[in-house]
Amino acid sequence: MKHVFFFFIFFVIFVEPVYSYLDPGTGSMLAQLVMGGVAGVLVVFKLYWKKVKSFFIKTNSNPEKDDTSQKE
Amino acid sequence: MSLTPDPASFRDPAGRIFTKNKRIFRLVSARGAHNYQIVRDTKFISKMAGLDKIIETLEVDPSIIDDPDLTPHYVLEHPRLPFISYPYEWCFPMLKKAALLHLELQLQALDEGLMFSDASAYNIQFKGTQPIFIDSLSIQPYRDGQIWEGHRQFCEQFLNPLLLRSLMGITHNAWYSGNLEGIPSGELSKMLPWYKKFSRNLFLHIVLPSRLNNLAKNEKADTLSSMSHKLPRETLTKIFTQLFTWIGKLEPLSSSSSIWGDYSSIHCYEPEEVAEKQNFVSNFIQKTQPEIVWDLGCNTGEYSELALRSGAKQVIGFDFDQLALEKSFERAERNCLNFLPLFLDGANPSPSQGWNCQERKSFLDRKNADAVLALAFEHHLAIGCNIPLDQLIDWLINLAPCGILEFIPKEDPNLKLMLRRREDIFDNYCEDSFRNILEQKCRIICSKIISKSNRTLYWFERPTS
Repeated sequence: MKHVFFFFIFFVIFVEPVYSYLDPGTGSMLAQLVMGGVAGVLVVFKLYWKKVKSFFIKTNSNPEKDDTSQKE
Repeated sequence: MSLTPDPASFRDPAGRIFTKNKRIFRLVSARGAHNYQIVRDTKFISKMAGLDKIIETLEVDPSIIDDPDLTPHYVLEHPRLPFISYPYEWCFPMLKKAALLHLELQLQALDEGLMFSDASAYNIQFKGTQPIFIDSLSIQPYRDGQIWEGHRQFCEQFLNPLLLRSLMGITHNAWYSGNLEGIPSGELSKMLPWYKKFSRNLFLHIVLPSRLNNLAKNEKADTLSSMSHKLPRETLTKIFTQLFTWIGKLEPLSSSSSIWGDYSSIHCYEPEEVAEKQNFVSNFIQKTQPEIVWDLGCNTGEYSELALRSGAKQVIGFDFDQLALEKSFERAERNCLNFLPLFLDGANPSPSQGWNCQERKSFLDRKNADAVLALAFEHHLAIGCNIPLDQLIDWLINLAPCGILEFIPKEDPNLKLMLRRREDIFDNYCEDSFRNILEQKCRIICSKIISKSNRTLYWFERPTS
């Protein structure tokens, strides 16, 4: 479990997410859930996991997308 | 006559502040009435008011408002505070004290089943050296499992400015004054050295929320709301307690570079000269009997304390040097003085700003002094910032109907130091011009040379217009 937490902290500090607009309280809300324990950590982990998944899916589908757009 | 709400009171639809005949009223709207009743019945506010931690709140007859356009459910009256100050004018120990009060009140409120709806530092004011909470409507019933909605605001308005000084030795005042919502966590996080981000508290309160905020930016609202789990009450208590302990231990990063913090030991008066200066100031206060004195360039508060001991009721001190302000605040606390030392850059005083340029009042809009002291102050503006002597004297004498101005001549060692590496472009800066300008604008009651270098004190009285 300790390793999971360490990985989580490392990930948060060194992986820079993209910027756009959102209500600025969301980060605080999620951070409090993390302070609340494992359940909160999992919620946040899910968010990160989604990003990782979407990153790979996007990368794989990119060439196809480009092709389609050229055809159109 | 229709009343207009205080320009700073617009954010919370539960109520607004109005001033009528110099009395301060809070009008509770239909929207805020239910919560107000619950909070009032807990007696939390009256208990805390008894301890001087929350401003006294009296329910008065709504008919006192007498304005057909206003139909409040309740009308509350608060005592008028003599001076409103802002967090960007406070020094480190003041902001720290205010932060600790906020957390202490949060903890006690939670015990009573209550919770603060926000964590604005502007909701805290100072009565002497004691912080006091002034926005009773931001206390609301606690809902089971609710998160701390004011966490981000608390970090940006209290914690981050303290960390800026404590971790990096950077004072918060200029940044805070330019960004009234405080120091954004995202910005502070960027400034932290990477290894500091592993510190537990910094990670949880600064790094993590700002990263998660960015991470969640592209999420849909539904995804986020499905994630909002309940926060156990014990966690909330733990967050407040941990922050309280952490902030309680924060100290400014040690610095030996303050010029004026050491003023008491480096100023250039002989002991008998000090006594003469003290007698002059003390005599002025005893004769003019001012209730409120503004001490510009208050330094470590030596003459502010003297003014209070000579009969003034309250002194508001101003200085630009952080260490001097901290020493002033320490003096005020140690000797239980009604003395409020605030940050002021004389060449750039606090402006009217915020929404519609009215939300936070300027330095001049809050003018309330019966007398002003400007001891060894004018040369910082006249020589240090090239402010023309006539404009400077005008500005100073318009701060209060009477006061003492000290003139520092070019022969003075401190002034020589200021001119050491620059061209002397101040042809009109001399005692004669100073006296002439002052005489043209007001009455000089008396003057006295108080040092070998011919520093001179002028007691002036402005004609009443």
